[in-house]
Amino acid sequence: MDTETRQITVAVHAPDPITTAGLASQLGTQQGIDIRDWERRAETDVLVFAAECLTPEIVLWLRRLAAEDGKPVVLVVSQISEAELVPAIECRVVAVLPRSATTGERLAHAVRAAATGGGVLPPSLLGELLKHVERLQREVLDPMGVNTAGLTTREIDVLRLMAEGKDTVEIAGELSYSERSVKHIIQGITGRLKLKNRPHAVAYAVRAGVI
Amino acid sequence: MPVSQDQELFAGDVLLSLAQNGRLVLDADEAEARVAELRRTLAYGYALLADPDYTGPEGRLRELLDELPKYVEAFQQATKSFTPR
Repeated sequence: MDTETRQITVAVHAPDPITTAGLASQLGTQQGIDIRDWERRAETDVLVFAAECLTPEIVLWLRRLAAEDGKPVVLVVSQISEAELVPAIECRVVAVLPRSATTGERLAHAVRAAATGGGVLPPSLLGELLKHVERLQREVLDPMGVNTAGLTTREIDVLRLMAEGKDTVEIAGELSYSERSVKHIIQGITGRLKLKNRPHAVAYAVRAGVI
Repeated sequence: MPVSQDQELFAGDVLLSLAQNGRLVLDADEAEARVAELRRTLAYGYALLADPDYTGPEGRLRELLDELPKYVEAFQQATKSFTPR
């Protein structure tokens, strides 16, 4: 059935009755959203879960909910750290809204996205996961002075000037290197990354997003 | 999830689980680029580990080198669930 027209059922849980009522009231006025009691959450499409912060107890609770019901969760929190995001994602959280900025419209938008997403991570949370992967990689690469594309700052400078159409002499002049050094840097890039020639090296740097 | 003191937590198992459940979905090009980056990082990491002049935290480096292959596998599975190969 078209999710634009069918009712999306939602159960709301918050740390106190007033917040629960407030969130349910905000959502209840939105078209196409039907609020159910928390006890009937197994029959709903989406769970909205509000908390001050993600304590280990709340993560445990969310994990239990994910195991029991497997419903997508829209999390409304006052604060969340990067480190807490991965456990939240693990517990089927598909959207995280800051409590202070949560309006009825934003909440409804997140609920509709959660209901139609088929459980797939939305781009915002996927982006956070990819940033996490980059941070881990930087721990390995930083001591060697290279980025995730395997290039040093010096190599990126040379590639940037090559992309501008400059030849070895011009690059050497601009970076105050000897021509021999520039050639050595380029050979280092092509050899190490198994690139065929200079245009191939420039194309690689463009694709990797470093120039 | 494995915890390593106050450093970035590891989430390789989580990512693998997300990919296996079809929640982690990347298009083929994105996944291929990420896998290439990770493999390159692993190669640099092993080189660093073999470097007698390396004075960094070897234990943490070993943990990273143990964990990153899970990310490679997760991204490969994320691609497979999107584009059958």
